[in-house]
Amino acid sequence: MSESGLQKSERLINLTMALLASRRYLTKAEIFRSVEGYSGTPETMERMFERDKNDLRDLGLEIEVGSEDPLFEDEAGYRINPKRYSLDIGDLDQTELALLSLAANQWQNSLFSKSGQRAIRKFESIEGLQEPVSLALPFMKSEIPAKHFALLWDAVESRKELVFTYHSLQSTKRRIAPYGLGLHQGYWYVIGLDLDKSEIRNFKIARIDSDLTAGKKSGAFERPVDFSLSKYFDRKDHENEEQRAVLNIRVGKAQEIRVAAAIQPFNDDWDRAEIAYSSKSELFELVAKSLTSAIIVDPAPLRDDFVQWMKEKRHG
Amino acid sequence: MAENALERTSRALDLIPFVAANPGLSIEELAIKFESTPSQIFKDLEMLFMCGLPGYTHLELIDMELEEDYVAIRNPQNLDKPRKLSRIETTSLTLGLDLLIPLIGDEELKRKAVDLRGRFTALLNEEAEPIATVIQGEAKSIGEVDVVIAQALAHQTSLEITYRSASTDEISTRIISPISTYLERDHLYTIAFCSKAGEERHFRHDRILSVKATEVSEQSKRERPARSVEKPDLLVVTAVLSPRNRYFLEAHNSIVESVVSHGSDLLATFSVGDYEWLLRELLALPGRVEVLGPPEFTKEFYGRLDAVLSQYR
Repeated sequence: MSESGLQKSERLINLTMALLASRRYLTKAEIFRSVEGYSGTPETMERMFERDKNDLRDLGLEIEVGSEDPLFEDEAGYRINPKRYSLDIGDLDQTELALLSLAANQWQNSLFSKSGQRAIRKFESIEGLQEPVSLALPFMKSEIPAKHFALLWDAVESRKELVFTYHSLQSTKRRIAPYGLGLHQGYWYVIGLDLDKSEIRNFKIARIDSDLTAGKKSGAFERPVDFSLSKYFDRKDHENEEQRAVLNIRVGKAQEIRVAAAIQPFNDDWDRAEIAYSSKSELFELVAKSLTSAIIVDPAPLRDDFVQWMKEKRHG
Repeated sequence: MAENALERTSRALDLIPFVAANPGLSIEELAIKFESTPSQIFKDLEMLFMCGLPGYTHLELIDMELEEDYVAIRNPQNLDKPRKLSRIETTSLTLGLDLLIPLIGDEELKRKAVDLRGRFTALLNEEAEPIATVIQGEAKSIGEVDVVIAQALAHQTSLEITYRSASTDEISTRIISPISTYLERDHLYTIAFCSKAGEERHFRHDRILSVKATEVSEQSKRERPARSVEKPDLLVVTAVLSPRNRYFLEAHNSIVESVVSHGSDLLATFSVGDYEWLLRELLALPGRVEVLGPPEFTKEFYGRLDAVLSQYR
């Protein structure tokens, strides 16, 4: 007869309490004798206990295995060290709790938002519910919720390979070993080894199709010991060198350019702007948004490129 | 089985220390707090009544007062303390603080946030490379505008700003009453009641050229409508875009009605109130941008494109 979820939860809690209360390792025989919820043949109880042990570990509980008598090592026992069970973060004052609450409240993805709220409930289990303190800080809207986020987190943590269709300039099937997740300007990326190209690449999660699947096998790859998420993006951020361009901008217009450039008067209608840029497309975007209030003057090849870039709209 | 036994066990283990620290809440309040239903919470608590330490006499069982509008734990046994944080729980806090810290202007508060981040990072296994990280773009720092707005928010005062509008390329002076501030894709915005527009508007901080505190008369405060409910007329614009512009559609998904493949390009439909803004944005996109309609918008788009190109002849 299969047991109900309620019976199983009850037994798991009784087991947790017994293992936490014991100062010494409890043998299986002692557990079966003393903890409520174990019944049936020895084999049944054995199977129940193995499953329960794994379930509690899945909940993050550390079950220590050891023996009281070094001469009888095969008679293993189990316990939970209370110090490794409970949260110990020291005292948190009202301002710190307000900061943590703000940090936990900004997430749009359900994995982080639910986890953040669980963490806050744990602080409130120590300090009690707090009167809200306003810190007059911006509320966050810095994350676009990413689909598949929980699956991707698990794949990185358990080192499972991923297969998906990726929509970029073309739509292609990718197979990757995921090394980590990065949030950049509101978007989540998964960074990993592209197994077909043998290169580390980053993939915007918003462009991953819903055909995403993770391999069943945990520990399917090793992340290189020298791989670092922050260093990977640091390197990418400094790829372009800064260059300079000279523009004519209409007097009193092209406000976005004025903020970024050094301005000199040129004639009654135009000012001259010298602007530093590291990305040609970002400069073109700025000039195009200013419509007829901005003209690229120098260098000539940049001017020609801009004309070509604008013409592409018609011809692709 | 309606609910996974592990989820129930996890919630029940967290309920005990929470109720012990916060006696007297109702079942409904607990359900809201634990993002569950009152009947689920009631079942959890009933189950916990039956749990305890080996022996299972009334001295060893968890003991509580359980009424619909009053729950209290008389004896939590050894479940009086909350469980330690999981890796995801800790990460959601440390990354949240990473996003928050650059936005804090007050030095004392910033020091507290940095210290907290350190305390929580220490809970993670220091040897392990993190699973997730926040990649900071340009180092953001809080400027004078941000500080003045934060003060106005805290004291509910009004501000006089000079603002350059991205959609009209004009500078205007406005009196605004800030309501809240948010960060979106590396830019800070303030939602405020704008006396010039007579309604709520969003102001990007780096477009505020100057800001100063100002008095708003009681008269104009009274005249302020509670919330603007009227929406401007929306224009539906259709365009074929190069797939290089996928990022634009992602960044402005609130105005994108639909996106479908169109050969090797994308066919997008926008629903927008600020036509001038969309015109300029489309002109500033790379690769193919073919506006299909409506006719007046199409005419305006190609007229502007030709006007820009004519300057280079």
